[in-house]
Amino acid sequence: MLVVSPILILALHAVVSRYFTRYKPAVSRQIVCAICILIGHIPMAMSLWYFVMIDVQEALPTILYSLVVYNAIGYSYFHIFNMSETARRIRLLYELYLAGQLKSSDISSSYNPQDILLVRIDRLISMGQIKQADNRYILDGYFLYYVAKVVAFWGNLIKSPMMKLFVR
Amino acid sequence: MITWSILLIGFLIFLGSLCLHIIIWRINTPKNYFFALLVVFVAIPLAVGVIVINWLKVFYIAPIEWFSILFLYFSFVGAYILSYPAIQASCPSLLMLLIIGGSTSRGITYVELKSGFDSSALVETRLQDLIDSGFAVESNDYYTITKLGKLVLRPFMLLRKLLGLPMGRG
Repeated sequence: MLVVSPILILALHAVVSRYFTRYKPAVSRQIVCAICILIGHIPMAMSLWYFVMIDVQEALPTILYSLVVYNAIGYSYFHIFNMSETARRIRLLYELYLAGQLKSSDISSSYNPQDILLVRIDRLISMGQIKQADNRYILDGYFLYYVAKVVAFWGNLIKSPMMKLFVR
Repeated sequence: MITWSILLIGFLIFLGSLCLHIIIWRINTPKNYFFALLVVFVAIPLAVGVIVINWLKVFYIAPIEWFSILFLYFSFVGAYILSYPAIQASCPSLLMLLIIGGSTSRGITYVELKSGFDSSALVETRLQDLIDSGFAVESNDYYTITKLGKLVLRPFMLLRKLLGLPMGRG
């Protein structure tokens, strides 16, 4: 079941994503993806119960293993989806793929830094991570803020400082 | 059935690879990071594993247990390698959160937020990454996608199609 779990998540996501795109387009696509991964715990738990659950004590490493592997796979799936949604490199590759070839000035006009920032502001607002009040942006949720702190710490550890885009 | 030793060995191999990754990156961050990550997290652990199993015969692990260990290990590796671009490419969304979170309780205006970013780096560094990774080539200021680039892009296009979504806005 764990081996086929990416297909399960994808199938579930394909159905749920189409529903949300049609009836609730305002809901963040990342949140929809995360919900599908969370729902996937149910069939995982059921199959685990059916196939291996004899004695909870004995099955504890199996339960932990399944939980860890499923969530690692789910996390990977989320990142692949998120890359398709937000990655600048994927967007640039797509622009090059559509056009055949592009001059750097063409790229700047079709995908400029202002768009990059505005799209991300919209996304963070729809995910409930920031909000706008009196034309100022403030934190609304702390989950991604703490994720950002962990990523920044890790970036410094491997000498890939995250703040290199920050000029001040 | 999974045993505690399978969990422990899978985790320890990942921890060892992670330490090696930190050491190498601190000495010199590889330019083609994707290839370097594959070497550190796939080639080296597999080579070391083969040596341990075949030559040293330190301990016996049944093939089915190896499968479970490798499945656990590669689920960690997949998760880490997919997280890596956010670290390496200075993910703008996370950076925004750090800037907003680090501002006063009144928050920050769009102009202040924008002035914090090196605008040219947002696109140009990503283009350079595509060239360094062999996904695109540049000639006389014209950029073209390579076969490898198309190979990377197509699964993303297929995923979006399966999900009934247009390509992401980046």
